[in-house]
Amino acid sequence: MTSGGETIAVSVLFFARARELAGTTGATLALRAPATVGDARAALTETYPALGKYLDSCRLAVDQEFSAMDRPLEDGSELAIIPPVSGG
Amino acid sequence: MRRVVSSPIDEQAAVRRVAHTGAGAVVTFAGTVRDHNRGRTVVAIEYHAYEEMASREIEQIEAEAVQRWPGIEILILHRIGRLELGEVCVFLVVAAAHRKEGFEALRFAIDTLKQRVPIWKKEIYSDGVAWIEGS
Repeated sequence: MTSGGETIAVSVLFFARARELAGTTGATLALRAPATVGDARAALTETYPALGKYLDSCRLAVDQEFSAMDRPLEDGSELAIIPPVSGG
Repeated sequence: MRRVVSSPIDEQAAVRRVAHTGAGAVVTFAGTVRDHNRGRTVVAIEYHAYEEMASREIEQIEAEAVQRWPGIEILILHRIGRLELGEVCVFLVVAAAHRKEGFEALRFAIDTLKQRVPIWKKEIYSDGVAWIEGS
């Protein structure tokens, strides 16, 4: 397993209203390994307080797949914040 | 063929791509930009997408439809960017041996697209804008 103090870098992508609330299209998040989607979500709430509760209505995708909170993240993973979709 | 496009959808080309002589039914659906929603007057809609994932989800929905209704051919196209009233935002075509599975597969595909393909509309009104969430 990973040694203490090691960190991973995750690219975060914001879309639609989440993008407006975060005030940016994307960011790099440094997380202490091992990290899950849930850990990333908690870090996002701290870094972007305006996103706050809005994250509750969003789904999260890792490397373009909808993912559960316990999914592990790796260095270089792409994490997308997906507000309720409204295509069509 | 790209499933998420930023130029007008070529409906005839889409139909030609799936139609085949084993199909006795070619069913299409076009979603268009409507001039009203939830009591407000809409002047245009901006469609935004997480393009790579949207394409991937659309292709997955096509594969699921083929698995459920073997023998059909299906193509789903979604346009993004700013669309004016009446323009086609989404176009689906299913070619099936018989109309029953054609209609069923088409209904499944558009309903599933609306649940999980990462595309969002921002409605433009005469006096403001709003993100639409859920459908």
